[in-house]
This record gives sequence, C-alpha cells and structure tokens, in this order.
Amino acid sequence: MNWIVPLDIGIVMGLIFAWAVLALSLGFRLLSFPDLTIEGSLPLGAAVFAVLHKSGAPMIISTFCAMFAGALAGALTGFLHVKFSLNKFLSGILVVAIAYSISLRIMGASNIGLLQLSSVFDYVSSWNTVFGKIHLGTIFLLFGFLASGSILILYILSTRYGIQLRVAGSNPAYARSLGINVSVNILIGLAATNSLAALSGVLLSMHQGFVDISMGQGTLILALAAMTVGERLLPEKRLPFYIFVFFAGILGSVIYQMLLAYAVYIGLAPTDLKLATAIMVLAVVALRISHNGELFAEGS
Amino acid sequence: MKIKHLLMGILTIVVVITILFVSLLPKYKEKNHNLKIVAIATLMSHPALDAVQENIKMELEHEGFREGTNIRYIIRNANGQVQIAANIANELAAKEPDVIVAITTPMAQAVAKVAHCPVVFSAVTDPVGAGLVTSLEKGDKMVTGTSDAWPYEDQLKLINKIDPQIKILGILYNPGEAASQYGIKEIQKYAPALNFKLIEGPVNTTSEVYPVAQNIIPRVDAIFLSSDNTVIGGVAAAVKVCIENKKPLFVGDSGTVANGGLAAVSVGYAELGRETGKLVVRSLNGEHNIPTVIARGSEIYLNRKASELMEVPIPEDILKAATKVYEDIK
Repeated sequence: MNWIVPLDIGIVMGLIFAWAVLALSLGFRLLSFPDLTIEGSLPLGAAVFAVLHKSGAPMIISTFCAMFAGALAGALTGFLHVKFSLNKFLSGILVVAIAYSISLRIMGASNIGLLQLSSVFDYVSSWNTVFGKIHLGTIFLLFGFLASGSILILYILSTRYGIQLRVAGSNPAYARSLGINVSVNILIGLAATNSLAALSGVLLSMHQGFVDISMGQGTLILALAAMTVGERLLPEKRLPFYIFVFFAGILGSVIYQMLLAYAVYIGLAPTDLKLATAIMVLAVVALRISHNGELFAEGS
Repeated sequence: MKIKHLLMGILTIVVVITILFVSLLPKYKEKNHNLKIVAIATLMSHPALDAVQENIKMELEHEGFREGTNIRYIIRNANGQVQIAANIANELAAKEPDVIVAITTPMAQAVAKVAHCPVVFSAVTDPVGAGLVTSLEKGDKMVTGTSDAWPYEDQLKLINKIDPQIKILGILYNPGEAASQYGIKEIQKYAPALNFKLIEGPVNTTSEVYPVAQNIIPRVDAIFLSSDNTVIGGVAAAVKVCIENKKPLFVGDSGTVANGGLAAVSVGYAELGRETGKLVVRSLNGEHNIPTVIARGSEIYLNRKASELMEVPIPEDILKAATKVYEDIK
C-alpha cells in the first residue's frame, strides 16, 4: 500500500495549492494579466493569519483578514499598472518585494510556529485513520472548500458583472467601447485572485504547522507548471472557456503535486529533483501536444 | 506526426524507467525488529548542515548502529524549497521509521506536525519560539533535539575573562532577523549577572554597520555582535571602527573571527551532530520526554592580528584553551 502515499500527499497538497494556481490562471487567462504578485500574496496571507491566530483571534476572522491582505496586494499591483502605466511584470515584482518586507514586519520574525495552535484540520483528524494511510478527512475538507469556492466563483463569473470582468480582460478596446471601466475591473479582478493566493497560504500554513518568510518562493513556477499541465489534460473545446480555465487549474495543481510527491517518494537525489519534476511535466505536456494546437503554446 | 511518435516513445521510456525504479526499491514494510530505520530530512545542503548530518551517522555508528546491517537511513533533502518541506514530512511519516531527524526550523516544524514516531530536530535556534517543544528543560513526549542557539552566556563570560575592565557593551543587531531577536533577549538576560551595561545599535542594512558603529563607539568599552546575517555581512566596517578607536570587537562564530573579530565562543556544528546522534540513540532505545540539548560552545576562536591592532592583549590561558588562533585578518 506504500504506492498510495504519494497519491495521498499529492491530492492534499494539490487541493491546497489549487487556490494559488487558480489565482494565477484566472488572472492570466481571464484578465490577460500575467500576475507575479501571488509569489508575495501567498506568504503575506500566511503571515497575517499566523499573527492574528497566534494572538487569539478566531480562525475564520484571521482567514478573512489574511484574504483581505492578499486582496490589497493584488489591488496594489493593479493600481501600479493602470495608474502609472507600469509594465505588468514590473508592478508584480515591485509588489512581491513590498509584500516581503511587510510580511516580515507583521511577523516580527522570519518564522512562526503554529504547532501548538488549533487548525481547521483538527475537526476532521478522526477521519484520517479510517482508510489506512489516506488522509480522508483532510481531503474531504479541502475538497469541500474548493467545491463551495468553485460554485461561488463560477456563479460570479457567469453573472452580468462577471461577463463585464471577462470582457475587460480579454478585449479591453471592445470593453471600453461598451462603456466598461477596464482599469477598475482589472483592479478588482486582481484583488480577488490574490485573495485566493492568500487563502492558499493560510491553508498551507495550517497544514504544515508553520509560516516561514521564504514559503512563497517558487509559487509562481509551481502555479505556472500546474496550470500548463491542467490545460493540456482537459478538453478545452467541450467547455466554456472560463469553466475550462477554472477546472484546468484545479486538476493541474493536483496532478503536479502528485508528480512532485512521486519524485520525492522514489527518493531522487536532491540535485535531480527539479529536473525530474520538469521532465514529468514535459511528459504530460507532450502527451497532448497535437491536440491543443497553438492555443497554449504562446505565452500571453 | 513523426514528432508525436518520438515524444510518445520518450514518454513510454520515462514511464517504464520510473516503474522499474519503484519496483526495485526495497520494501519498507518488511521490517524486522533488529533493523532500525532512521529518516533524515533536511532543508538544504550547506557545510554546517552537512556536518550535522555526517556526525549524526558517525555517532550512531559509534554506538553500534552500522549502516546496512542493523540500521537503514532514508535521507530527504528539500533542496532549499520550504514548499516541499510538508511534502517530504508527510512522505517520511507514512514510511513509519523508528525516528525522524529533522534539520533546520521549517523542516522540524513540518515533521513534528505529521509524525507518529519520535522526532529529533537539529540546528533549530529557538525550539520554544518555533512551537516545537513547550519548554527546553522538560521535553515533549515525542519531540526532542538540539538547538544551535549561540552560547551567549559563554560569550559574555569570555569577554569578562579577556578584559575585566569592560563594563559597557555596544550590541550591533538587525531587529528584523529572528535569530538576533532571540539573541538580544538572551544577551539582556545574562548581562546583568556579569555587570555589563548594554547600548543597542540597531542596524537595518549591511551598509548601516559603519555609521552605527561609529555612532556608538565613543560610549562603549567594546562592541559585540549577535548572530545576525546583516551585521556579519558588514563586519569589516565594525572591525575598521574598532581598530581606529582601539576597542575590542567580540563576535560569535569562527568565520567572523577569521574576518577580524577579536574572539568568539562558537557553536561547533560537528559537535551539534554528535549530540543529535546521542539523542537519536536514546529515542531508538524507547526513551521519551528527553530535554532539548543546547549546543555548548566549547570552541574558542581568537585572532592575534586583531588583538594587536585593537591593542587588547589576550591572556595566556585563553590562548592555550583556544581551538584555533588566526594569525591574520582575511
């Protein structure tokens, strides 16, 4: 039954990071904004959550504050871009730098331990032993979060306002001709996506039991790889584009984390770990190369 | 179409190789009672942490646990990525080893969260602050380990021994670093007993070391650095100021002594590894509630050139006790 361990780890980590992947892919595909901010908003959310939770605030309030902090980071990126016409990448990079300093300031230390505190996973820990080595409770809980989040986000995207947002992202010139305020829509959209990245940070810190200032490093690469994998695996022609993007993000995140867990499981040398994950991602991408054509070959 | 066939070929080869890999792996389930399994998880490779890992193994071998005969190691390295820490921790916990050794703070936290077996951490500066153990003295049921906190008490005692006339210490530190936030509290705790008065010089960036050192030097008898990457990065500036003003500069690790610090009592990472190894042996023997071991800085490092330039003579007995005396400033 040992082979099931990477599967289990992959699903748990994948469902946690799915929020961060969604933050990137929704911004990237629906708003046409390659948003680097998630690298900073993920640890920022974790930092805000850790400090509030440690000082005794209820978990749910700490989580909302963390998501709000992430939203502020996203809004700042959008603001820098639309107000000062700053390059999309540069505004993201600047906000990542700002978020790093602010996280450090909020935490007051580079690392906060949450091991002695309650976490949302405590409520379901009794289920985790039902099926041997599978963390059934954790998976159900994370899946529940994601499912309810999906319904909410997909509903918003399908409303009149959601359509406005998508038009502002995909075709700004056309949106302007319809009288849609593109700048405000990008700002709100980025705030929303980055609050998802912050939520990912909160879940991650609860799951691993600590917040470290460097826990955001690599989020971007991870999210980008996961997004690519997901988009290769899902048939994009059968679904509306925004639903396709959404589920590709979730699926990709889970598959990517499974591949990563598998690489760790077979005990690859540390020097080869990154190469191995890259090859496995490439293999998935190669599997579907002819199917999708050029749609996802080009960057933005 | 040819490219597609080629890619499919490559893919098939990759899959076959991975399946072979997995099927050839030893089966961890078939464990007999004589064979102990120790998992070692570390965040990254660098000389100090590698020394810890090496010495854990050496200590275990010294205690009769020979690799391959009655002990097996599962070694995982997160390659510097904190995000993989939880992944590795879960994987090791599922393998149900007898003891998990976790090196560095994030790794120890991730492992302690999920492990069902004894956890021995190492190279964690502040285990209580990190939430690993509730107190250093009592030890928790499943978690114990070694702390690499600088031996501030020994360091302050060394200052007293080298020159009992020193009464006012200037402390350079970066308030934004976790290690020095811990350090400044420790220094404040031990200073009154040795009759030291402290003047704090907060430094935010490496380039601020020079002006801040110049600013506080007229008011102090000596300067002391806490375990602070920012200040250590700019230590040359502090050395310069101390030489100009003929006042001693005390530091806390061997590398900084080589760069011109007068003297230090340093944590030996090899010794830290050996202490960790002893804790692993005790855990393997079924002991619980083992108190945390704080690395004793038994190693004194001195710099003769700095002593001449700062005009601070070092007593003979300390010179004899020193692990290493550097003759020049790097």
